[in-house]
Amino acid sequence: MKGTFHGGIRLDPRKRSTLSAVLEALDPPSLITVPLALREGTPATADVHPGDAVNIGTRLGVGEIPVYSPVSGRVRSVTEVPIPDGGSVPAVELENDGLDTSDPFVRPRGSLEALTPDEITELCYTAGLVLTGSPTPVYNRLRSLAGAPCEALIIDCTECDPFVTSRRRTLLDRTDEVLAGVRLFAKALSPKRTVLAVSSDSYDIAEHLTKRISRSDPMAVRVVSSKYPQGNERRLIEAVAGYQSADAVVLDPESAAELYRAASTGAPQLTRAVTVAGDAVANPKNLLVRIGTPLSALIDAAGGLSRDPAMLLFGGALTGAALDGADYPVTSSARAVLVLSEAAAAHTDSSACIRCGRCVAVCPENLEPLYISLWLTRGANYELRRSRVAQCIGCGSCSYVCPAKLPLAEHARLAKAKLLAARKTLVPPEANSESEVTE
Amino acid sequence: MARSNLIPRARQNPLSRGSGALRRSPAPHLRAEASTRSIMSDVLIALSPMLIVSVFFYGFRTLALTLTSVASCIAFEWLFRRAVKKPATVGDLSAVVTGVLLAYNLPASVPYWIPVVGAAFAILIVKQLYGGIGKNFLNPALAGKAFLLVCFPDTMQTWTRPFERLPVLGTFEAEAAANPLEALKNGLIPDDSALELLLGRHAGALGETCALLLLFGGLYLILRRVIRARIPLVYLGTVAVVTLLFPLGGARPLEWMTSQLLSGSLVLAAFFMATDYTTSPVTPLGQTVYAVGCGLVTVFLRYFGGWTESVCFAILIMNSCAWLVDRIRLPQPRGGARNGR
Ligand code: SF4
Ligand code: SF4
Repeated sequence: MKGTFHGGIRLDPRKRSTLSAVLEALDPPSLITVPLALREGTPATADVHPGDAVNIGTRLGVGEIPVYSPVSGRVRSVTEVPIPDGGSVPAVELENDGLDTSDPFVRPRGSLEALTPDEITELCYTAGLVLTGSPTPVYNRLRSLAGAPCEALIIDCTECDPFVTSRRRTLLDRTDEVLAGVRLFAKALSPKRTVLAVSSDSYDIAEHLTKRISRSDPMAVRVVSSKYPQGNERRLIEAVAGYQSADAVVLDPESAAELYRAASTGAPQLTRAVTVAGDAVANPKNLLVRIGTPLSALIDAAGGLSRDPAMLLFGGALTGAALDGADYPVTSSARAVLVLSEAAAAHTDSSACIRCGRCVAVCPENLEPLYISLWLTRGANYELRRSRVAQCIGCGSCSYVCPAKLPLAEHARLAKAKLLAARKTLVPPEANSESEVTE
Repeated sequence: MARSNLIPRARQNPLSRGSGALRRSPAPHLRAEASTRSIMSDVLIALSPMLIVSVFFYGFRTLALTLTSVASCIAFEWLFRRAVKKPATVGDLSAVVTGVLLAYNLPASVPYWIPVVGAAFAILIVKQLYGGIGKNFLNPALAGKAFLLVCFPDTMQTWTRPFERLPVLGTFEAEAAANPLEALKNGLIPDDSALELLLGRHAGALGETCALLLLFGGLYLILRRVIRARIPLVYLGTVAVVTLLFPLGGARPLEWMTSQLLSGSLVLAAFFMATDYTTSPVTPLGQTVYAVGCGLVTVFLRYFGGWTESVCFAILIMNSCAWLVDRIRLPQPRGGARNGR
């Protein structure tokens, strides 16, 4: 039986242009800029100085996790760079010599079987692995249970965002690496069961994976609904476990493949699979790109533009960021770059709410976005506090369906920030550290 | 990359920062097709077959009345928005829907100024004074009808027999026919058979009689996902259960229930007016409570009320509770909190 979750929306997949575009490695340009922090405001320090020679795998610095050089060459400068996720972070600008010399640090660590669970978790940190689509270290996810027994390890093989196929291609083109990585994840967590969650519109992937899983593997493929936002961590747990279990861990196949590579060759995370698509892209592609490559190089590699662009999106078309230009680096959580023409981009001339209830029906968290929006604009803080808006996962389903085209998800985000700010001024800072993860 | 050679060098790259070609707006960057206008168009499509039948039953006068009502609604909305210098909203077609629904609730024999007065009340007082679409707390068409009913009870309750085609212009002497609701009021099963009630061959307002076409219209709206089946089904279900359990005057329960369901404006109201977005609750639980309430009040008014018309008053009463009903919450089962992320 197919697992599913409350609410959600059906989207036109629009994936045809890259469905069978196998991952192609993109040669890095002569100048790349590698961000050292995952998000703005987190501290990061550089280990290198301008003029230093670097090789592939040389440590450039450390933020939440260590960051390595994806090319060989020379450090041009240590600067700040705006990242697509918002804000600016410390970064290292590298001149690529095109030789791809590896650092001596990059060498195999002996047999995979000999790795202990703790060593695997440690490796996720030292290899600088980051989740796909969200700037969060894999290491944090692995440690999120804080010692509690793991009920289920869920590998999110769904991809409900329109246009994006980078995960699909990773699963099909790097199957062995993904499965070997999943085995390592399973060893690190020793879960009661390991589930590869595939959405119901990708039976070919489900079949492909089922065939490749060996008999001795303690993992199973599970088909879940193809609704959006199935890829959300809690939706996936709901779909697989049937309830919102607190003791399940969700990881993704890209990180699994990277973990396997790190364990077998010693190479840290240097590349990302990125879909370059959208109706304004001439020749949509799936590219394996070095972290730090400017987005403009990706668009050029996909044949440039075929019509006038109206929106440049980083990440999915539903939750991604709209950028003002392509001069941003590929980050370690990147998965898609979309260029949409005026015809495909959302028009956002909003009118009055007609109380149709669609936003309520689709909200996976069962919130009432129309009231959140109303109370935010009216400044009704008491009502806002009762609205459970803190549970909003920012999926954007409410804005998507609204016939009045109201920016409901944006209002929910603002309301959440407002309540958080109000709470911070009342409560001493120590009481607020739920999101902190110590090493 | 032969392509990029074709683009003249001088032209600024639209993807560079500061070129101004790229729009930045908050996510999501895709939106569903449905708009207020497309939803209202679907409602109009669902209502239109009934108009053809009413012309067949009562002549082109019903078409003329409907057009008068629609034109008045559009005019009043446009004039009001202009007078208070607010953006025009007639393009969303909600005024057209109000116009059609108001006309459907009138007897075919009313003079042409009746829909104009009704439209003025519905659009100016009930809808626009509260801020326009989405802000009114009573359904404009129903409020207009209630207003007319209270002010002009005789004109509004003179029914014409089907197939007695009325002239579009000029005076006429209409022979008064008995609305099945009047028999029901007295605890009697109406003379019209269930089939006649279903097909609309009985006296009633010009757009409420043919239950079959209205059901099809409702089905269309449900299939197009314009409305959900919850409100109409719970509403009709409540009326069915209560009338089945408590028939008046020793009537046979099943027959009594069928006549109750198919008489008056119940079917029209259940699918097209009780489901009015603005004046009904938005939460699933709220909608259920509201629809049960509509059903109970309708039967109560039909049994004990002073008017033969009760659906209109019942829905208006429940309209005023919609926002309150939205606040009803069942305790939510919640998963355990996660430590860290
Ligand atoms: S979807 Fe939009 S129009 Fe409908 S109730 Fe929600 S906010 Fe209002
Ligand atoms: S309120 Fe938040 S969780 Fe609910 S649909 Fe909107 S964005 Fe998603």
